[in-house]
Amino acid sequence: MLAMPENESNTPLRDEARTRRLFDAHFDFVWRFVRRLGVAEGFADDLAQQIFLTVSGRLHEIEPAREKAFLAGTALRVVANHRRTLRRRPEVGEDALNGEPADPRANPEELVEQRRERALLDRALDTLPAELRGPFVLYELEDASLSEIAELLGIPRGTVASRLRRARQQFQEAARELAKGSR
Amino acid sequence: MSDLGKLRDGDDFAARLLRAGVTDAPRSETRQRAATALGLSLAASGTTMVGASAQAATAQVISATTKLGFVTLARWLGIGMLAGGAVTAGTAVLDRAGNRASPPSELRISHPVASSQGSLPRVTAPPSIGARVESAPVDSLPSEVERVETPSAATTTRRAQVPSSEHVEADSALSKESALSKELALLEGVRAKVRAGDGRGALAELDAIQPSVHVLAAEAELLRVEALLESGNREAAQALARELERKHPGGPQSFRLKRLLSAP
Repeated sequence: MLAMPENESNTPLRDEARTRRLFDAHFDFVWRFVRRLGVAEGFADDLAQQIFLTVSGRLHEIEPAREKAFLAGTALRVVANHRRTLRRRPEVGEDALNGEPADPRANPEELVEQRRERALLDRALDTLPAELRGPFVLYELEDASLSEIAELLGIPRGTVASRLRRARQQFQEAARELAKGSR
Repeated sequence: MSDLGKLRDGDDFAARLLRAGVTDAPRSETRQRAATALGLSLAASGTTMVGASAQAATAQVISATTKLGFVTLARWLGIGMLAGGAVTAGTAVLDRAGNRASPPSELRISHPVASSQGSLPRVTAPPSIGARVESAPVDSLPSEVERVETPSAATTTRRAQVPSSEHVEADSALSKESALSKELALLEGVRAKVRAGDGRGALAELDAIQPSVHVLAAEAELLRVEALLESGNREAAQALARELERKHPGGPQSFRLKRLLSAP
């Protein structure tokens, strides 16, 4: 049964304008973040949509300055739930839903190469534990600063720095191994 | 620790992999589906059409333009011959004109539609795009296109039909895409009325278009809730919202229903 709160101050129109602004500003970030957290493209489409549906239903809880942090936090939780679901249902293979790269400017050879590199990137990222992967992805791929990551993930800046240092070492080692294998 | 440089600025293998990750982005269809699920107007959601969809649309514009040019040329030639009393000669010219290049035209075509894959609703595509094409090959012509005249031309909209057994399959696909585009356009009309505060008008329009809306029936029902709220009939809106929740418990519409009904 639907809850029908009667005393909220937000109007649907105001909410829609805010949702639209959030969507336009952050949808690509959320989708890419979900992908680099290890979710296959077919699932990433649904999870990104789910994250925005969740956030749009809780707009009144979100301070305007913390919208991106809220999205990132929601993304981490949704991805964690998704992983638990996959562990319970291993018959749902991630590879089956991996799609083609989206860059429309690339020619067929570039698309193949791009896809190969992204697959290798995901394999290298898969070597990182979850607590290192989030800060690494945000810093290296989403250009977030250490302070922003601390804000986004709700952890001290010093912790972000130490996790990032370890993540970079592990990622580079993994990339070196993959480079040997891809020659 | 101050912020460091980025690993991807290097020239090693790790940097290459990271650079590939930075350029990754969702498909335009993914954005459009999500925007629709969130109840955002497609035209204003900031989405752009790129990739395979754009290429497919361009191909359709090219083939449709060629066909339109041929049909127009053939018609005028036929009329000229008829006026001169040379019906037989005119028919022959029409037959020979099949391989000629087309004049420039401007077309409005339907956008391709993505298929459904996952558990969440998949709705896609802006209603239409415009494009100008100078010339194109004659093959792969769809059998029906809609013409939008250029500013210097007459404002009459014409529909040209050239039956072709070779393109029945393509026509069928275009027809399905066109049907969904029409539904989207119909619902956009209702949405515009709701946004303008015309709840009664939106309800009347919903009643009128109901027989034509099939794929997006759930979205139409959600708009009906909005229209009922806008027209001041909160009780009916709540009843319909409960009914929708009962039919689709925990569905993606639940968030929007709660949001709508949370207004004072």
